[in-house]
Amino acid sequence: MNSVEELCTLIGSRITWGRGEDASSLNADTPLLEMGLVDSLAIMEIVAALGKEAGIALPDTEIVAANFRTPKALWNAIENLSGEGRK
Amino acid sequence: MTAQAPVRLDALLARSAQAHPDRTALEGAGESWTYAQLDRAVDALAVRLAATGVAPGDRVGVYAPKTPATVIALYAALRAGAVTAPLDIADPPERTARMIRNAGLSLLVTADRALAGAHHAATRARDGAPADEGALDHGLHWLRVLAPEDRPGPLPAPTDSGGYILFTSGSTGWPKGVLLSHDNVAHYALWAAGEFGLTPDDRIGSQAALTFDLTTFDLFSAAAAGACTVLMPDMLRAFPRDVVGWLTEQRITAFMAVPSLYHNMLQQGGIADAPPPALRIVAFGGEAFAPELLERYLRLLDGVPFYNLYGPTETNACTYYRVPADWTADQELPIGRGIGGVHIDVLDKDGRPTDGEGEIHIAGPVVFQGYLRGGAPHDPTVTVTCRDGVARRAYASGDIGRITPDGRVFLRGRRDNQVKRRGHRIDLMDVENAVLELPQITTAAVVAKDGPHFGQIWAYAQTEATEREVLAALRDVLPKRMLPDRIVPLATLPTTTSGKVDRRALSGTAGHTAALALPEEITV
Repeated sequence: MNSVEELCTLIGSRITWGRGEDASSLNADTPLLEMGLVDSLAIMEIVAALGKEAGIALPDTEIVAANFRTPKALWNAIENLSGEGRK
Repeated sequence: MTAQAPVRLDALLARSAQAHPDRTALEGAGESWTYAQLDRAVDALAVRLAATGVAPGDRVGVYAPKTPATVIALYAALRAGAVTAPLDIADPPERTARMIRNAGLSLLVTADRALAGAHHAATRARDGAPADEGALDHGLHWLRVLAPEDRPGPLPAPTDSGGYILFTSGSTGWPKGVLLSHDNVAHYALWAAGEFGLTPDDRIGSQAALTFDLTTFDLFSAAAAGACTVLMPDMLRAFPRDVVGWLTEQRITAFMAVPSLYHNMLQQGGIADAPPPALRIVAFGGEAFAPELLERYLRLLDGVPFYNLYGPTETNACTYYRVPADWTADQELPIGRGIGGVHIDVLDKDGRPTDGEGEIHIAGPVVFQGYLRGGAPHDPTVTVTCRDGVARRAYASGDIGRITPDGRVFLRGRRDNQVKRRGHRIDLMDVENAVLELPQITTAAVVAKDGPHFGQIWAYAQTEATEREVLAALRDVLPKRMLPDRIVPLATLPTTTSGKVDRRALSGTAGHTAALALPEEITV
C-alpha cells in the first residue's frame, strides 16, 4: 500500500454500491461515514483486507470513527502506524 | 400502573416538566434541553403541526437523523394526536415509500439534512407527484404526502387519538407497520423506569436508531423518571471503542443495546480496560448474549445488574430476567417472566397450555393494536385460554419456548422464516420478494445458511446478472442490514420430490450440498 489512491481502491471494493454509483466516485476526501457508505460490516472487511492484502495490522485502538471519516483520515492513521513501527 | 387510565407518552414529558422543570431532559448534537424547554418546544411545534392540518388519528412519519430536533418532532406529533412513525433516513427511498403507503402516512416531518431523501420517498409514495412542503422551527420541514380528503379511514380507539408505529420485516416484501397505542408503549416505559429504579439523576445512553423498538426505553422511560436522554452520534454506532469512550465521557448510568454491541465492546472496544464508571444498569435484548461474554461482563462490572429483555416489536419488551451476579456460562439463560401486568403462556399446536415446547403467547396491556397494511389495521391477535383458565387476547409470537412452573420462559427458536441480525428481525421472505421483484431475476430462493456459513443470508437466483449487479439493484430497495451476504447464480434451483424449491438443500442442512459448492473466488 503506497498511496491514498490505492487505499481508496481497497475501500471501494468493500462497499456495496447501489445502481448508478461506483468505486470511481470515491476520493481521499469522500465523507465515508456521513454518506453512510460504510457500516460496521464494511469496516470489519476493510480492516481484514488491510491485513490480508497490504500486511497492515490496524490495532483495535485505531478502529475509531475519527480514522474512518474519509480515506485520507485512514491513510494518515496507517502512516502514523508505520512511522511508529520504524522508530 | 395497570387497569388505570391510559397514559399518553407526551404526558410523561409534561409531567416531568411540571415536577423537574430545570432538570436536563435531552442532550445531543452539542445541545442541552431542560424539561421545561423541551416541553415548551413540543407544545409550540404541536400547534404548528395542527395548523398544517394534522388532526388526531392522522399518521405522521418523522424522517430525520437522530438529533434533539427529531425528538421534539416525535413528541410534537404525539401531542398533536398523531399516530407517529419514526423512519430511518438510512433506508432506501423505495422502502420508505412502501412504509408510507402501508401505514397510510399523510405527512412527513423531516430535517434540513434529510429533506432531499424525504422528497424522494414521498414522491415515490405519491406515484411520482412531488409533495408540497413548508418550514417549521428547529430546522424541520413538513411534507404533505396525502391531501386531507385522501387520508385513509380513521383508526379504531384508542389509536384514533394517537399512537406509535414501528415497522418490522414482513413476508410480502412490504414492511409491516406495527400499530401501538400510547398505553402499549407507556406501560412498558413505566415498568422499566420502576424496575430499574430510574431517577432524575440518571443519564440514559441512546445508541440505536429511533426506528428500533429498544429506543422506546431511551425516550419514554427517561421521561417517566425525569431522567436525561443522551443521544449518541450516529457515526459512532459502528465503532465499539468509540461507544465505550462515549459511555465514559457522557457519564451514562443506564444503557440498553443488542448483545452484538456488548460483544464488540468487550472484544474490540476495550471496555475491560476502562469500564464506564457511572454505568449502573445494563439491559440487552433482541438476540442471544454469548454466554462466556456475559459471564465476563458480570465479573467486570461487578454489582451492576444485567437485564435480559425479550419481546417482539408487537408487544414491546414483555419478559425480563435479571441475571444473577453469580450466573455462569454453563447455565441456560431464560428470557424470564412477564413484566408487570403481562401474561406469558406457552401453547401447543392445538392452542392448549403445555409444559413442553410450544409457541410463546403474550397477553396484556403491551399487546399492539394490529398491523397497518394498505393504510388499514389488521388485528392478528387470538383469544387463548391460559393455564389459569382465563381467556385472554394474545399475540402468537412465532417464537418457540418452554415455561417452568414458576413462570420463567426459555427461548428455543422460531416457527417460521424469521432470522435476527444484530437484534433486527428479518423475514427471509421479505428479502426473497425483493430479489424476485428485480427484472433480471427469473426465480430465486433466500435461505439462512447452516454449517460453515451459519448465520449468513444467501440468495440463490436463476439469473444472467452477476452477483455484483444483483447486489447493486438490491441496495435500492433493501436496508443494508437485510442485504444477502452472497448471491449465487444457478442454472436451476434444486427441488424436492413435490416440485417445491428444496430450501433445506440450499441452507446446507440436508447434508448433500456438494452439488451446490461454490467457486471460492465468489465473495462479497
